[in-house]
Amino acid sequence: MNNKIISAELDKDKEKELMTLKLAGEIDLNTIKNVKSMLEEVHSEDLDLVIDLELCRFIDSTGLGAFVSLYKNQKSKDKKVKIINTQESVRRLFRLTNMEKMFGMEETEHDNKLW
Amino acid sequence: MITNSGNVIKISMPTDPKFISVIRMTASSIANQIGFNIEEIEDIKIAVSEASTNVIKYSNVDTFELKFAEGEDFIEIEIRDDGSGLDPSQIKVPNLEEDREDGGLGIYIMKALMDEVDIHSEKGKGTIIYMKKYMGKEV
Repeated sequence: MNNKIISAELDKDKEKELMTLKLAGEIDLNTIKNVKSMLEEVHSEDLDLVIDLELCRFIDSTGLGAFVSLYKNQKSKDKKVKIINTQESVRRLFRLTNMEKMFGMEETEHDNKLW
Repeated sequence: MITNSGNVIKISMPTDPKFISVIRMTASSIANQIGFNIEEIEDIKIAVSEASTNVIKYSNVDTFELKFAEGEDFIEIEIRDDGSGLDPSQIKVPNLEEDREDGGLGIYIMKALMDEVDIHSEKGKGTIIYMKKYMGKEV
């Protein structure tokens, strides 16, 4: 049985002081360890962060909890965090838990500005 | 407790996180078979995943049981374990303005997505999570 239904890719652009984390697959109790190990690398960087969830098909409270601690960590470093390209089923959970604002997800799709 | 006398599907699952996606697929497939729409199926899938996650994390047993009962315009789901259980006062819905990392976030999500959610738990005697969802009712 595949216990890694998630893949993560971190791209750092030190010139723009920005890193982009692309997560693909399903974020749940089974895959959270893999996500958290990638988030640890993010925690150690002093850069703004964009999380691209275009290929993330599922998230539950386990994943939301990890993103909240990531948000707190970025905030403690005075760095920003934004989530982009969410699928509707994933977006719904952020909406339901009032977390869209926290991750700058309220802008329209046509808004090209990151922050 | 499930009251419906229609078709009931019972499944016993190991409390191993690697099966959580199997549980989701099963819930999704049963809800689809009953006739729920895509959005409702997604809600049921998430709620079952959250309930099962709680069992896997906190029950301290090897297996647990899921029951899906088909109603005319609803589904009833019962997730039961004979594990360590909880003091009912520990089961709380978090205040989202203050604490989203709390373990209760899963319960908040279940309650938001399903029409009925009841949790019966007793220390040392396990936990039963009962959920019901009707077709065509807005969340």
